[in-house]
Amino acid sequence: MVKNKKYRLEIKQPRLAAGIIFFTAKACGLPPAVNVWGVELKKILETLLRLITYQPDFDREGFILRENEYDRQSVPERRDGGQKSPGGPEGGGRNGGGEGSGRRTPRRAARPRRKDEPAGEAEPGRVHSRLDENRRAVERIYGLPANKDVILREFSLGTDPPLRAFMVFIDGLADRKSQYRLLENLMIHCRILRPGDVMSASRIMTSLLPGSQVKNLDSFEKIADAVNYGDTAFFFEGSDSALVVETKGWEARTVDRPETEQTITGPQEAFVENLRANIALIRKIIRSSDLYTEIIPVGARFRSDVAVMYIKDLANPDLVAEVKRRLSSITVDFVTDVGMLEQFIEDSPYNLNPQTLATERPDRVAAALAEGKVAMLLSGSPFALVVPTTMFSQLHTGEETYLRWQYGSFIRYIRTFSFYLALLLPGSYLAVTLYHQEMIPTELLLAIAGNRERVPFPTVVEMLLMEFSFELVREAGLRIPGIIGSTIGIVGALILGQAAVQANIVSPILVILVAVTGLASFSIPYYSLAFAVRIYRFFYIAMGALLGFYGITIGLFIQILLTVNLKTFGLPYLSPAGPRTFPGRDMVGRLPVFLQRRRPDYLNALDDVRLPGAPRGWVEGGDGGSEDGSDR
Amino acid sequence: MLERGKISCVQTFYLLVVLVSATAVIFLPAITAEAAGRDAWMAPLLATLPGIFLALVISALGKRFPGQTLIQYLQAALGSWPGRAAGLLYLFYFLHTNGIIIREFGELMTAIVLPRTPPLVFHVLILLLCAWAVREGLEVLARVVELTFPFMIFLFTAAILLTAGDMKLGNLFPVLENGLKPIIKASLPPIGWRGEIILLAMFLPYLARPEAGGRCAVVAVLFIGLILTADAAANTLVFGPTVARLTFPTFTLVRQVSIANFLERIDAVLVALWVLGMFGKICLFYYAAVLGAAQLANLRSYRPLVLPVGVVLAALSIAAAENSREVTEYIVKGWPPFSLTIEYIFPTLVLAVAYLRGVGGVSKSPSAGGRNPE
Repeated sequence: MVKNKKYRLEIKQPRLAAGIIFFTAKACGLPPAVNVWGVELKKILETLLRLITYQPDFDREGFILRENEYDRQSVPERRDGGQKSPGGPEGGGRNGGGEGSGRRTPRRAARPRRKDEPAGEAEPGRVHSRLDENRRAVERIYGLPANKDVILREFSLGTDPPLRAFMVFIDGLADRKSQYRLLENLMIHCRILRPGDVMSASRIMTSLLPGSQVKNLDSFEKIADAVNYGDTAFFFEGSDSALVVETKGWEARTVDRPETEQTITGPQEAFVENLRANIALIRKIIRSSDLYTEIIPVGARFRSDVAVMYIKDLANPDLVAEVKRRLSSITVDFVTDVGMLEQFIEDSPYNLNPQTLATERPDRVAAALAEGKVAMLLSGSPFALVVPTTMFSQLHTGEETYLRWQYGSFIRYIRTFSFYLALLLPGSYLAVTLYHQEMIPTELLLAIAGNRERVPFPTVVEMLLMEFSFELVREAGLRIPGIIGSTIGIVGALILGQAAVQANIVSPILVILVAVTGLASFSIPYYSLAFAVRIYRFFYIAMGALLGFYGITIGLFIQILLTVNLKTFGLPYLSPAGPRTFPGRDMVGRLPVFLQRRRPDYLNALDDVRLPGAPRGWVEGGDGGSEDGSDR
Repeated sequence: MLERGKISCVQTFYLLVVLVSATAVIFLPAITAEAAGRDAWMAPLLATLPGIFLALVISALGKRFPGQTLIQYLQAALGSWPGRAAGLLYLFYFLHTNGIIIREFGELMTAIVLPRTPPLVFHVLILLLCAWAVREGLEVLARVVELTFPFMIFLFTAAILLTAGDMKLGNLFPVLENGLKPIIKASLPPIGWRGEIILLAMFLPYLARPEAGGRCAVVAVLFIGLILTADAAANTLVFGPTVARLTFPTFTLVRQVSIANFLERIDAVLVALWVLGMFGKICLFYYAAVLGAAQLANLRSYRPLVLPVGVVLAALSIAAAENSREVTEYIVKGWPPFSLTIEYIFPTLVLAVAYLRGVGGVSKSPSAGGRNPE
């Protein structure tokens, strides 16, 4: 009996689901299989149905960031269980199940494919030993007479006898000066060689080309990849491989001050669009041979490089493997910014909260790397993605660490408070004025009522009007051309503030409120998180207007439910608060740096201890600052 | 396995504290004051002892039947069919108590916060949210409570401290005016309330370290005793014996608060945070009922049961009592014998039977616990 029941439960639901989808799609007049919209609709409906129906295999967590050996041994003694300290064998079993699920099979990134690959006689796509064949192949690849910015220059090596050769590069991407030097060497200085030597490509590479990075390649595909990225390829008569010399040198922005993450103290450098320069910016802060940079190509048709950076003996190897697995599984046309990359690799794309941290500050990336996180840089993007990230680190900036701890903590408390203000203030105002008037002191209540007397709209409409106008000013301020940008301030302040009050469209207290809310939301340092807060705010306005404080509580509960479920690369998004782990004294309040002896526990870094010895060794007694701050 | 999540000892502590004190803080002062008058604050203190006893019983049962919940080891201890009957009894207890809790919640919301909204709206809304949370599993539930717990404690402490100006020490005297008897009588409802930690037996196997569950529960019971005593004492200190005549004394208490003539009557804020506590409590009972039902029927997942049970709860919350007075009457008169039997006597009997029959292995190493044999 019981077994039968189980069986039916499983079978019935998917059929029912499929039926409902089919009929709904039909009712909307969409043939579900043919029409693109129908397919989309089907997906949406499937998602909705998945929310309300029974799912037999409910494996949400494909990847769990587990404890390392060090933690596994020391945790049971140190604290009670924690979130992720089930015994060793059990954890292994869970992980195995997650990895083995067929849902996320790793796929290799599709290599760039070319329709008209050169068809040489011997091996298609290989460099031929006859120069003319190679030349024809290159012309075919780049469509040469028509394609004007690919330059093919023919010359002869100044050896005895002269050796015919040509070089290929893209105008504007390759650096002219280094090319001159290369040509100079090949055409003039090579006379020092003895006559009659066999001039193969490898011989030229070892003794003639002064470039610091030279590769000997024999596949046209790889050569084209390099040339497309600013390198110069040299083909020689009689060599069945080509030399690719690194001559990248396009016009680029120089390293500048940060635009979106400004600080008063600390380094004032920001990333630029050049991947190599960005990596160098990080490397020059972390001068360690343990800093690894792995390049993973992304983009099926137009290739971009993603540099995965981590510190080998700190970052959890599982985490690094997972990042690489996700990156290499992406199939996408092309990516231009880490913002696009983010959407491909984040755990829950349907959740409002951002689950990665994009930053333009190398020092911040370096600090994250030193904690055991993993950073991703994309060629052409002046931002780095840091994973995993928690909501608390999204509310941090680099600045607090550079300030003395009292100041840093102060700023963070202000910011946390303003986070709640930005989220809840308009909703709470509506709740108080609409449902809980008794909370307001009588004088203030009278003042509010007096102001509102001549306003013709309900408070909700008033609030939505002002919030909308504020968002409008904000958006317009971004889009408006720089020269007339200053007008937006005048328009915003004068017309929306003062005039609206004088015209009795809104009450003055509301203007103050919306302004405070706006200020508070600007103080959230991470742009994406500020977006999430802005959207949530409207949700709270609706809940406050509908059900008062009860509605706001419901809203809070919903938001907590949504965020508490979030994972960023196997790490709970709200850690170290929920689930509570050892916070590392750097959450909202920040203790002095010399007391932050351990790395954040939730990251499960390979080495937990940040300050092994006496952090303030000069103090008598050795251990510098003890916990109570006394240094005897 | 029906539940994959793992919760820590600290999370268990939070869950248990929220479970008991969410409603007790609001309703208990009036109920104890009715019987004990000025000595109402002693009743919750007295109730701590049976609470500790129960925590130890649950822990002993958990050690005897590692990896099993209450519903499962009832069958192991009492035999298949008696065990199932007892399981059904517990299911009824979970459902009915939850119905009463939801009803209390709705009564309070209509009485204090939104008087013109029908109570069913509150019941259905909170049940929908709880259904969602229960679907997500114990781990999520624990994290939600973990996140909201500090706020609740902070606000509760602030509310008590801010009324310090209105407290009159004379209200407490004379102590033990009518002897110990009324206090013992008054401590019966708090004992019943404290006994709600029997729900720990439903999620003890899902602790990361089940063998530490008893210790966490004892600490939680002590903390609950502290909260409830402080609550009762504050109420008596401010209102004197008139507490008995107030329906929701703690809220009346908070209404007295006036911060610098600017923030007055912060009871709405307290309600808002208290609702978060109620979410935790209702969710836990809901979870216990759903999980228990699934285990009783040997289902592979409890998720298909979540929404149906929610509907039953919504109906039960309305049908459980005619009006607010009846709810209070039930809590004072009907609830203590029922709850004391289910929460204290029955588990103790089960433990005794299991001991006498020699069922369940104490010999099994407790560290191997936490695995559900299913």
